[in-house]
Amino acid sequence: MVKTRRKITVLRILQVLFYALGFPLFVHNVILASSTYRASNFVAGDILKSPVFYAVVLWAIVVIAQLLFRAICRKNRMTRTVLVALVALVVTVGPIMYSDFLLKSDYEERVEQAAADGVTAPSYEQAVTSYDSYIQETNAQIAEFIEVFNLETFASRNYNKGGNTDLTLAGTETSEPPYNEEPYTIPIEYDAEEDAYYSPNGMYVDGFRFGYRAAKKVLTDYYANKLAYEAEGRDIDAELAEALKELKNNSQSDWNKYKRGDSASSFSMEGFEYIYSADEYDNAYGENGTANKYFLTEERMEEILDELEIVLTSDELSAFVETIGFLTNMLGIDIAKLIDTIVPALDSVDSLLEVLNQPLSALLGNQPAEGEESIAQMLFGLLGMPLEGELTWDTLEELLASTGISVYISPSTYPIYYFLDNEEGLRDYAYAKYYATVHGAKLGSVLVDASAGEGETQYVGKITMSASGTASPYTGESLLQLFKKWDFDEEIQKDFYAFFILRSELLTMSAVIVFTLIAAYFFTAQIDKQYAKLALKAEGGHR
Amino acid sequence: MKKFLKFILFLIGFPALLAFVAWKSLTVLEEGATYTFWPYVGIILAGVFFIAYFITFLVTGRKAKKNAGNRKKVMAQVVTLMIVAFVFTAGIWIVVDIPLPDILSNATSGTITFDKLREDYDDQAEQNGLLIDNFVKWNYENGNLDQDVTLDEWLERGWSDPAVQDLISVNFKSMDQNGYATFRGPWINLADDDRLTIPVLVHLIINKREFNEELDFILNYEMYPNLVKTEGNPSDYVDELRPLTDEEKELLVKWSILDMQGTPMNIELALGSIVINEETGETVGDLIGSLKDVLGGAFESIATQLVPVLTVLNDAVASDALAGTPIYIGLDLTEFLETGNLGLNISSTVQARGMWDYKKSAWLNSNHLLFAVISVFPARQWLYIWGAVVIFASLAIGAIRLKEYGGAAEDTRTKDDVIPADREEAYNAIDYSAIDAEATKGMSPYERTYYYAYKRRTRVE
Repeated sequence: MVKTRRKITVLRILQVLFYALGFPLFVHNVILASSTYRASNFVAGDILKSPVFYAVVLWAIVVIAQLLFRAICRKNRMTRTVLVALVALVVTVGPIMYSDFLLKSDYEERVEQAAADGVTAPSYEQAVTSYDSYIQETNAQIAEFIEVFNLETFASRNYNKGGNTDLTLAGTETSEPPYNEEPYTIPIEYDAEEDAYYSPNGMYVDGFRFGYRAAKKVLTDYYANKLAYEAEGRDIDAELAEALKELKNNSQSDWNKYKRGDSASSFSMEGFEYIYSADEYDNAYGENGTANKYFLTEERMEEILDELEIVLTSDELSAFVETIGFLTNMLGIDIAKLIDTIVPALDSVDSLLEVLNQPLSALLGNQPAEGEESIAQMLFGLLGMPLEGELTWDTLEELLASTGISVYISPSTYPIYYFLDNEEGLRDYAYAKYYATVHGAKLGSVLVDASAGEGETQYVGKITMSASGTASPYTGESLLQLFKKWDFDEEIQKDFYAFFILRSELLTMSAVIVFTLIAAYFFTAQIDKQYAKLALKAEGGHR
Repeated sequence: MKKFLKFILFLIGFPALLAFVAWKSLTVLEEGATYTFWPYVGIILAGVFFIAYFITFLVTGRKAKKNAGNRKKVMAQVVTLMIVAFVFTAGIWIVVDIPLPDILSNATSGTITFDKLREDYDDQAEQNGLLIDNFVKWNYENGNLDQDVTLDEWLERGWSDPAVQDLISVNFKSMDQNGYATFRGPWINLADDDRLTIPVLVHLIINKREFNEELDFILNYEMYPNLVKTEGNPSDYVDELRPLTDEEKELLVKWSILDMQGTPMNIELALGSIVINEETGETVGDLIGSLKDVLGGAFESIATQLVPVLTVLNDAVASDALAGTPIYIGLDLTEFLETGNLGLNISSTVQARGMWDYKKSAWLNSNHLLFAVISVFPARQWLYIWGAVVIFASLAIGAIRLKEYGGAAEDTRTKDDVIPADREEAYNAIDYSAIDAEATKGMSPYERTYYYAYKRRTRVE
């Protein structure tokens, strides 16, 4: 009696142990083997693409088969064992066959296509064994990309607290302050595929920090077009500047029609429609325009000049200048006189421009030399933007905008770029250039350093009050090539790697699974036999 | 003896746990000393758990005594005590730990994380203690708190004094609604996230903001920065506090981006190392050094004359055309004569107004709640660690009780196994073998076994 009981206990342990060595161990192995894959940015969080999910499904199929056969063939234990073993066999060997005979040719076809694009990819045999190192390599490259451009995370982020800065609807104030509370009236749209937040005018919202996908899109639009022009011996920046000049100067251009609010049918652009209404531009940038509060307008500039004038004409300053009068001889500059020359310039923006358009020597009261540059030309030259002709408020505003210092595009108006002809990619390029340089500069994620000349190092990424950017390890060509590789990797990670991981684990485990499952059935039968002995003993002496 | 053993086991269980919690809470209690009962929340919580356990301990003990001899009932009391011991130590936290990180992160806008508090609660308590101590100190210095009472006395009163509580809530409301909330768009968030670029700074200064004119701010004296620091006068602030006029007190207090960030910007201008004569290698520093004797005592007075100029400049910066609120631009000339280097200090109003930067002010405003939250963590830690001991002690106490009141061990066989003798006899008297042989013909051994077992039961009963 005791002996039988002990036997039962041993058999029970063996039964559970062998069962655990089958599917539970397999699922455990798949969890371990797929940890790199599951953490990969392209597939992270997608449970249905996870090899763990597939492994559990295989197990579930066998469990269901076990229950089913138990119901169908109640009597014949052996038949049941054979049938269950057969199902386990199909379920474990099937995926290996599927992978080796069907997926393999598909995979190799794609690798061939990629090779034509200059992307080198591992062969099928390499991929099914060393998937981890390929995933890690791509992930490391993307991590560096994220680091260089100061993206912080693979996913994008919207820094806005409740909408764009300008929350007003088509220029009409509809909500009371404080504006940060709901309801805000300008809707934001999230595009999941691009991982980007858009304003109604089709641009990124002003607090949008690029994620991997948006940065890749912007850089692709930028370099693909730039390089295509270069290949034809053309300068895309010059052509863009020319096209923008034409839009601004031609009174019959779509841009000027848009600013005036002409009827939509008069536009040369096909199917043009206003976002809200024909007066949307005027509502944003006209008198009392909603956007005017968020950048340096001429009026604002005059207010600031007034304050500067107060400081420069103050008695306190003249008293101090008198005290340091002895420096005049040392420096060769009469400070009091200099201030006297500057003060009238601060009367208005116009008088400031007038002074800036003079040569420096004239300002200091000397006779200017022949052909001497004006102060404005000198300053612009220092900033790497040669100034042609006189400095006007428009050019000054443009400078502020193109350096990102003061620019605000209302979310309810189209930018000028919208009206560019895109036949040769000029519009895409214009948007990309704006995002990469101006939008990126605002956010501290500069994608392109436009000031770097050909072959010079670009400083990109984190350029803030306290950081001066990262030297970009990329060129336009190398980035485009990397994007091709990453796109290919994304595709194969999504379509193949889950199966590859499952396959490599099944390869070592399929025989084990079938064997241990049969063994578990065997031990179950043995246990029953021992129980029979137990009961027989009780009956024993009675026959 | 058994009673004594049970008492000892009880002591090393929950009461010891309570002692550990109290001991590990000492820093939190010390730092939050002025926050009345708030820093005690963790200990109170552990105490409540202890009471629940203690009541169960008493009740199960009494019930076990009452049911002495009924082993099953005594056993039930043992099981009850162990379950309660588990639930009120580790059990409850396993459940609470699931939503807690998110709750904490939401309540503090992600500024205090669960992982930070889990083990490092003492450090957080020290930080939060510093919040109130410095707040009191600054407001004592700027005259917001009555200077007839000593600073030490004020520090001792801390948050528990209604004047301090009032100061915190009124002044934070101003900072929040006429500061943080007035920055529309993403700009302040970018600045907070280490993305303070020049365009962001321009937006934060240029963008038009809407203010709530009704909001009060408590400030009685003006504490003005020392705009020109020299060797002879290196202090941060002008020595004397200027009482504000009633008119000035009525003025709307606004907050700039610099106030939100708190820390002043110090820009070092290393003019001294600029070479002015390539041939001789003479630098600006050398030039100034040579002037030193000429300037001599005149330097201090020249520097002093810069103060009114900078004041005019700062007034201009504070005008509505620019920042709309004071930002102090000052010069640091302490090393100028020695090295030719000077520093540009751009400082905010926060310290003069007796406030922390925005984030810390927001913490300070709900510091009592934060202390309550922090105080929970030593309790959590030791309820986890000592939980196993409490459960073990409960089991040991249960074993003693079982021995005391459980009576003799029950026969482990079930009733079915024990067949009364008379039935057995009656059963044996009848010979079923012919019937059985007929019935079991063609049966498998397994089925036959089942048949006998079934028949035997029906026949005996």
